[in-house]
Amino acid sequence: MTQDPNPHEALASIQAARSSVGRSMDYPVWYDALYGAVCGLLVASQGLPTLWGLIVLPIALGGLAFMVTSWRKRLGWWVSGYSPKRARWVAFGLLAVFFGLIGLSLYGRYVGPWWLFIVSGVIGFVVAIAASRLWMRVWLKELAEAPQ
Amino acid sequence: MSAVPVFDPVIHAPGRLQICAILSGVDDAEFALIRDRIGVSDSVLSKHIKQLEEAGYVALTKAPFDGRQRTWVGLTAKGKTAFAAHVAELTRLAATVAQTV
Repeated sequence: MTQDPNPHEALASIQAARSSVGRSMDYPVWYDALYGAVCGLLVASQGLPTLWGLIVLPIALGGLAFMVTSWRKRLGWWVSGYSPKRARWVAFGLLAVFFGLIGLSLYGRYVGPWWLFIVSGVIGFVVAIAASRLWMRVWLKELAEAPQ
Repeated sequence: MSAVPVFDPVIHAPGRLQICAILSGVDDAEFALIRDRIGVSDSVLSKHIKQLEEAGYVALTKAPFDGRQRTWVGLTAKGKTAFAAHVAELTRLAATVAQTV
């Protein structure tokens, strides 16, 4: 390819370069499990007594920081869940579910039964892993197509 | 909203086009990853990145990892706009070429 505009070649080159980012996706299973645990803890902590909430919250946030650092170190790139145009809708959907689960935890805390935070935490764990995998599929598809 | 097609000679050079393409899919990427993906030397990549930086299209950050500094590169808002406009122009040109063939 030269400086002269050869649009087809240039567009193909862009597509190939974007797809090449998704080639390095060999992240370990524990990453999914840790992400689910962090999200589960974040939603469940709202249903815990204040003292326990204050203990659990930094643990969850620490886990999140560890995940971001290890991902960057391992793969050499980072993309936030809310950056890609199409995949971000999966992240917004997950956020909406989390708000619902936080509401469930708070309901259990102030109205009862007390164990609702366990239910919201488990649901948060499962939904976070499923949404994370779905987000990744949508994003990889987005990468393989021409940028908008 | 789709970008207004504008041909950008700073972005269009093959190496810089690939750099922008990689960065368009992520928030930021490490210097070494970009180098390996586009298959150029450190010095060639530095030169390309310097030109993009001078145009205000990329921003560099340095972060320590395992006791050494690593450079991370990300598209700026201006860079994202310029790249989108350039891709729109390439798409327009490709459609024009297809019509004339």
